[in-house]
Amino acid sequence: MRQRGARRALSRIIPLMAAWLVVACAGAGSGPSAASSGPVEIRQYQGQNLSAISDILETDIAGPQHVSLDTYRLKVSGLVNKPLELTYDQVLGYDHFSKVVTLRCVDGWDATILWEGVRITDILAAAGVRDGAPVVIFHAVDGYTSSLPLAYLQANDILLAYNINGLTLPAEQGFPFMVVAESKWGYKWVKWVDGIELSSDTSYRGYWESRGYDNNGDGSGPMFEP
Amino acid sequence: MFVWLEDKRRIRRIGRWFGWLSLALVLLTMLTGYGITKFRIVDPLTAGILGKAVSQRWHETVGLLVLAALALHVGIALWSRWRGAQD
Repeated sequence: MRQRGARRALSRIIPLMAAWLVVACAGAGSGPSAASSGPVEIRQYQGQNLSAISDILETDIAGPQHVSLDTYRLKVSGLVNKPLELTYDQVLGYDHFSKVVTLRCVDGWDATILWEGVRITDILAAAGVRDGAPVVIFHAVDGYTSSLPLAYLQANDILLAYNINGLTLPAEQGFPFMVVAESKWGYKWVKWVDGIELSSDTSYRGYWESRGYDNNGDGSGPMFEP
Repeated sequence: MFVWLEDKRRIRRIGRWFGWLSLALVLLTMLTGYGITKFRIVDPLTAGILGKAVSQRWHETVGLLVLAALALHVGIALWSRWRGAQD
């Protein structure tokens, strides 16, 4: 009796599962990426395979920020001759550069991405960096901060990215601008940048750095402060 | 020197304690794991004790302790079974 009941239940469940599989497979092929005619995410660049944008996991202190370009200004302040307040378009007016750089997160994942942006040093040159300002502090819309040495920015042509794999940075990935701090741990890659401050304070610690993570943030070095 | 090891009941009790220790450490591993990835929840829940950096440091250490405690728990259980079969 029991066997017959089980067989009857299976005979009902199996066709339902088969129907669900057919619908799911049909749906997978007609997703928005296949149907849309807009810009498509680049997944290969100069023979190099790229990670998907979705491979960058959300580890932000206050979740994704939604920035309005109507009110957005990138402030360059601190030890500069001419403080700046730049609109999104003004920042995009600087020379553009592209780089494939791997973002490594302390959580254990990484993503190799094509970044397009402007050189941070070009913006700083426009503001005129005063002597005795070896530290550049990045401020984000959500209150997050992190710092990088000015010499590091100059030596590595560090970008302030606005494009990721050929697409405009999504809100989840730091629109309008994100620091591409190559060879540094992910917590140095500030998203939603709205301020660049030149400082003489070499003991400055950003959000995660003041909570135990190493201030140098070198990807090949220690993750934590000694 | 190891006369007390002849007391099977005592050894089994030690094995059980290692079992409970393993369980506590597994729970701590899970909590610190969440402290890394879900720090926005765990940090305030633990009054800032398990921040992301602390969680990450503990998580790396606790993993090894879990393995050691679990190995002792299983090892003692197997050993006492084997001794029991011999008697």
